[in-house]
Amino acid sequence: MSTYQRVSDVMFEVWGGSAVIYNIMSGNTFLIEKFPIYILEYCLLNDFIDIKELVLSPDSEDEIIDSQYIDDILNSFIKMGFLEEIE
Amino acid sequence: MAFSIPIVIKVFSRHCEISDLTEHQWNLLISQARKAMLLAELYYLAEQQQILKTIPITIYRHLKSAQVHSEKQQNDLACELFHLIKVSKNLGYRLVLLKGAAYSATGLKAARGRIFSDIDVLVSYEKITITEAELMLNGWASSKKDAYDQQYYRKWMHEIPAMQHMFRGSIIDLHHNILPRTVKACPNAKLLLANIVDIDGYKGLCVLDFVDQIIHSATHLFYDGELEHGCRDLIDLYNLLTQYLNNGNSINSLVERSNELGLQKPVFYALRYVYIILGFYVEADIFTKFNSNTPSKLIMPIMDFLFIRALMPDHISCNDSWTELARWVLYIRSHWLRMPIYQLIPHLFRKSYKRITSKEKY
Amino acid sequence: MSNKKVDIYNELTTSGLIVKVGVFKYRICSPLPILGNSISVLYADYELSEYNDCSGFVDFHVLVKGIGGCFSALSRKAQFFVDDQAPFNALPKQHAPAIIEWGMNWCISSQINSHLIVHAAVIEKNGKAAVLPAPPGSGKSTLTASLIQEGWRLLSDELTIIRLDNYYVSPNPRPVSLKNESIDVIKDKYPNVVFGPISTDTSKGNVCHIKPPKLSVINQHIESPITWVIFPKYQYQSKTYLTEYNKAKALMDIAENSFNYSRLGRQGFIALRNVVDNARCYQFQYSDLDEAIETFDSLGS
Repeated sequence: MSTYQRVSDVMFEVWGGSAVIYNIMSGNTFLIEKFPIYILEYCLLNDFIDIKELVLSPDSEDEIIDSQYIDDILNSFIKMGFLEEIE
Repeated sequence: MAFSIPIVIKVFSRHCEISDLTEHQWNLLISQARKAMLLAELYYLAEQQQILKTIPITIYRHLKSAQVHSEKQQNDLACELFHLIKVSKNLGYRLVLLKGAAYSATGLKAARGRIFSDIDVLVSYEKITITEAELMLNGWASSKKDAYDQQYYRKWMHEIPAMQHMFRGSIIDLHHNILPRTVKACPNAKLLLANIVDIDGYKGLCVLDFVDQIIHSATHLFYDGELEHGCRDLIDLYNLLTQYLNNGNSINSLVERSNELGLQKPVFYALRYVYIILGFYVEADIFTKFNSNTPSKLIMPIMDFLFIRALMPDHISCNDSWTELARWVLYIRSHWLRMPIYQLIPHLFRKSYKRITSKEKY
Repeated sequence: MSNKKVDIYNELTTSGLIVKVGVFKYRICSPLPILGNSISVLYADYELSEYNDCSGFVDFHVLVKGIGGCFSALSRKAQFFVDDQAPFNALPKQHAPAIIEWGMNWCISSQINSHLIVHAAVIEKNGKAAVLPAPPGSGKSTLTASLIQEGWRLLSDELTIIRLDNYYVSPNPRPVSLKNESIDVIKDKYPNVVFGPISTDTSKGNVCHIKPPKLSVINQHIESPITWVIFPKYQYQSKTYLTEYNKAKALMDIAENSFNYSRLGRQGFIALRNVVDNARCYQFQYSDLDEAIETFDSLGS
């Protein structure tokens, strides 16, 4: 399984299930709606992201989380410039 | 030949102290500095003198606004350099940053307060095509579509047409030399590339040797026809020269290097005008150390007349009745320096035609 | 009053007329009589003075004059200049009152980064400000022009200027612009409102400006915290709806309506985060102006 590295510092705020994320390096701001907040916090507050940890997180029991969903999320974060896949 | 020195020049040459200015004088100073793109630089000058807090809030707001804008540009540039690191990695060789991008990446004082436009990059002539291809793979596209322009750049110029990023909008000017090939004084690029210096924190990116950066800055200013930002460029030179001396170097070594590269003329003018206009002290005998290619004594009064006017901010309060003519003469001169007469006339004709029919932005 | 009018004309055509709007001062020069007329009507309640060597610092030196150099007096077009620059194309001379207002807005929205500048109206009641961001066509101007006749103080009809230290709104009340149908709506509903000249056939249709309430001008030094962010939308024959709006979406929408949010970098994000966090955010849809006024009244009490 891949690991991912955080490449940019961010600021974010969550209100009612939606979040705004500010990428400090690129200066871009993003809106994410109806999103599991624990995934957001895990990805944005850790320097390295291991998918296994996300899947095994106790919060994931409340949601139906499969690898495709996580792939989509991580690809979004890569496009937003927060993460990079480590080979 | 009385010429009234604008207040913005007096402030930067320290003939007039910021702390002595009346509110009324600030009106003209802010106006001139804004036009000359020196407003953020003025902020940093006041900060350096530790007098920011003494400036009235109404005035401070304008300095701060310019500084905020320039800081954002620095951040955007750093972000673009991050992308260029990847490009360099894919290419397997280093990219040389020039001018503002170089000053910013190496933390030079000349980077402060700058409004960046394009990122200037230098590679050897043989690597131009492959570098261009890699940039295109990474999202940058060539801006000039006209076949004449494409041919003009690739055959005669020292750079290919500017490339703009499709999503981020950043612009890269890819060079293989610092002057067009048609110019007699065009230096041997290999001499420049032999002394490049890596940049801490930017693996794969590097800059010219500091002395060469200064020579490039002088060359750009005194060969360039569009002098609207001549004042800003002259202040850049002032900052670069100051830092050069503070690093323990001497003007002698600058002159020696200009002799090696055959770029004595622009360096001669640079030293002359930073002294005359900004009061940067240069010993008189330095001018005898150039071994050739210096302007003749006969022509100096004419060049002084032209450059002292053209290097002022492009603001109505800084012009006299000769300024427009001076700028026009120097514009023609820069093209005359860059290309033989049989190319110059058709080229100027084509440029004028395009401007009249508004096909090209003036 | 007539003395003042003569002075205005004189100062506009000589060294310049200084107008103080909020924390900014403009020096206005213009040889055009139509501008002299509209300024003497619309700016009658403002602190006005002559520009001279003792004037102190002025933020923006603006000029509206005919184009064409020596022939400018004959030209049918006029242009706005600030600091030797002309940011807009020339327009018919009779649009000069609109040209100067657009130009004065441009000065702030393009040059100022000491505050966050949002394209939004902002009004205040009982010490609480309501920010109304809205793209053109949302009915913001008509709504604003009404509410300021109904007890709300005008802080601005176009530019909400937000401080970056305490996130209060810094007022810059100026004549309120009205377009097309809204001109008649306000004229009918509020016959005592003073109108400036109408510029017909502009790129936005018919445009004119109304004189701001005197109290809004006198109190332009009083800053206010943002209690509500309300996104208005005029919808023909719609019922009146005021619905809570998710704050994350509200932040994005305000950022999109801001002139310098991205230029401010992280300061911009922090400011909007604070504003949105501390305010109630709503979407507001209406067609009936009286119901709209009532809704705002119930908020304000």
